[in-house]
Amino acid sequence: MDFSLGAADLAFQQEVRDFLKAEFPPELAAKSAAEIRFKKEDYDSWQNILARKGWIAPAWPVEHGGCGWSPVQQNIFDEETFAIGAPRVLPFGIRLVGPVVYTYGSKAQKARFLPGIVSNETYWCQGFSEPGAGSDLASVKTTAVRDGDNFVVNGQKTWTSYAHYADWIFCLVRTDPGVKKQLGISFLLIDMKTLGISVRPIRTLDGDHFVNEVFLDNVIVPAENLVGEENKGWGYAKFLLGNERTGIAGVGMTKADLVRLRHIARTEKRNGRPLIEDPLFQARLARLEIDLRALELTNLRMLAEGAQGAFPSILKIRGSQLQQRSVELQMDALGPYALPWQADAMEPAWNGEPVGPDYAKARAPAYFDRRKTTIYGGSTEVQKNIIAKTMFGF
Amino acid sequence: MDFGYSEEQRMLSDSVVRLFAGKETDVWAACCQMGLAGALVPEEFDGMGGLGIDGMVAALEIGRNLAVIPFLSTAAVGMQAVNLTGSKAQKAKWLPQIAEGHLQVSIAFEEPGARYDLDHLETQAVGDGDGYILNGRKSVVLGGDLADLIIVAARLDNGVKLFALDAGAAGITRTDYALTDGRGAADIALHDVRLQGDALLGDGAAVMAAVYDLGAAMIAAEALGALEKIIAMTAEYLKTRHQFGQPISNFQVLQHQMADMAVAFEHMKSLVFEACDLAMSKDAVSRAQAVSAAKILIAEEGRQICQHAIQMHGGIGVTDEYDLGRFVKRVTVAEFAFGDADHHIARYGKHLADTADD
Repeated sequence: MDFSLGAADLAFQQEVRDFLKAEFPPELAAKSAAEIRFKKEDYDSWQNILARKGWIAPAWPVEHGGCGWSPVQQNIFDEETFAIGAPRVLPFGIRLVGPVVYTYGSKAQKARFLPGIVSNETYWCQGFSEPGAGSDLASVKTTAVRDGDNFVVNGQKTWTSYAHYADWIFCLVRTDPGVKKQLGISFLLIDMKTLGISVRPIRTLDGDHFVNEVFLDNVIVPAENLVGEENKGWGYAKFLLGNERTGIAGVGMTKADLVRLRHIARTEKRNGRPLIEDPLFQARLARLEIDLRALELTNLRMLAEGAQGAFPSILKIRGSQLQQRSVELQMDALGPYALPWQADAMEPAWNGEPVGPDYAKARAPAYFDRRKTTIYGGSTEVQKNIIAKTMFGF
Repeated sequence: MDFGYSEEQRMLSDSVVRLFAGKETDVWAACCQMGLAGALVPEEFDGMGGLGIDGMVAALEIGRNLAVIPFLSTAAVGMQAVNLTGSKAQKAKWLPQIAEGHLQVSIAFEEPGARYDLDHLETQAVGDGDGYILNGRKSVVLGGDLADLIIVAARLDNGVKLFALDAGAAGITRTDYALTDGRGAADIALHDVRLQGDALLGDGAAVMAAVYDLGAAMIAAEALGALEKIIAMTAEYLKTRHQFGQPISNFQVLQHQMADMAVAFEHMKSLVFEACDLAMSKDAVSRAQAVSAAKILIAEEGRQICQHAIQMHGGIGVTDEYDLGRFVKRVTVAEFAFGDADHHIARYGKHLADTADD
């Protein structure tokens, strides 16, 4: 057993660090440190730098413009970029639809869609969830009816992250209502500028806008935008959902959270002493640090041993819980200044004077924002069903 | 990065598994014959020179098989106390005997009222010509019922020293008993125990923590082995037990409890691996943090797994004839031995506060 990175991985880590030191824009670092929300121009600025470097698609094969990195390398890159506060690369093109297109798409689709993703010119969003299809995703009702060389799409998608940035949406649509629900679904790529598409923002508990409702009203989609075979979309969706292995635990994000948490705990006081010296708080902090330590090692075990069986679900459950506990403990550490609601102070255009310490404004919003982590990407309950299936050999 | 066994570790594991599966009447003698007693003894003293992970390989199987053998007391902590403090002559005298299985050794660090605090030490040594006289009490000495040699921590002048005591020496009173999981232990009273000068091993302060950490890591690995069995037994039971006309594994409320166990188990497994990897490290801080982390998860989440396993078994889970309880009792001992959850959380947290970066 050897828990340390090998020489090649250490060299790679150094290469990543050198690159980030040279190329990560100071204005983004400042925004991140001040907890100002990233906007499209921020994602653009960072993703353009990565695209120019050829580092925007870590998991993609080199032949499609990706890095072809190993899971361990991808993990190193994730952790290093989180540690400096870089915006995450929006996953919809790179992590989600891209691999579906290069695995199941036609030659023409690969040529048409992949270059725009790795050059950061095309933004994608994910049209999976619907008002009646959340954890039970196969219940999608949005219909696509064949009409000559086109499909006519009608329905509604929801929780669509960054639809307001997106040029394209990849959708699960029902193409055969007369069969078992998993067998009548197709995977369709739709231009967001098409007539009949409208986007309505949904504001979340943190006061931010990143999710949307997307309405599709008699949207005409060329049949050439169907990925793979008609009615085989459920298989492609499962591939997409199962494809996202590295990063599922969110280790880098939670590590960065704990750096901030320790800072708060050293600064805040209880009984005149730094909070971090208070036995009750210290015990909670220690317990969280230990769980993160376990998560980090378990994540590395999965990378080294392969994402078999229940491993991804185990990491999703614990990882998402720790993403919540870290911001929860930040808010607890802050105390009374968690009460003033100052989510607007996280907006770049805001020019007021926030109350309390400089880390106060984002605490309650972060706490509310993270409630989503145990819901999205397969809720904790759905993940437990999957784990039990493997344990009982169903 | 590699989380698998080496060739040697695979072989060690296989032979321990075979041995436990056999019908040996004297299991420890058979273990010693295959070298288990000397697994961690340095090669120059006739051992295999293994490190923490090698110890873990054995400890996991001991836990899976509920073996009652003095591996932990003699081959791990007893050996390490002599190894870290003894002179060359002392090591040459005792370590080969340990490796051959001719000598059982226990450490007697803890005292009544100390509650895992190794600095809490009232046992007193005073000089007596070329030798020493010891007085004091030691509590819950693992393997103390059968030990030939007892490594006692005592204050001498202003320092803490370790002494090697012949268990049969005059002035030693042992009160032997079985622990919850069936392994033997003893309380030991020392009344004017006279020692020769060569019974003094060396300075104890730093070494005691190192020895104790090795014990904590090894017993955590034993518990991990037992927990693996507990989860497997429970899954199997839920598949075969029918109620309301169906196997109770069909019920989602039980499925989710099983999933919770799996999540907890994989994470504690990672930390036990790390703790054992560092259990014999000279880097005291890394070792202590890794060991405390593992011990906390075993104590807290291990306990939860045990309780849920009994609950999901229903009535059969609380009967003495069914094996589940034996595994649960093994984990219960591991929760308390070498520091409980609160002890390790406090140690981990204090270090966190002392070193927090900015």
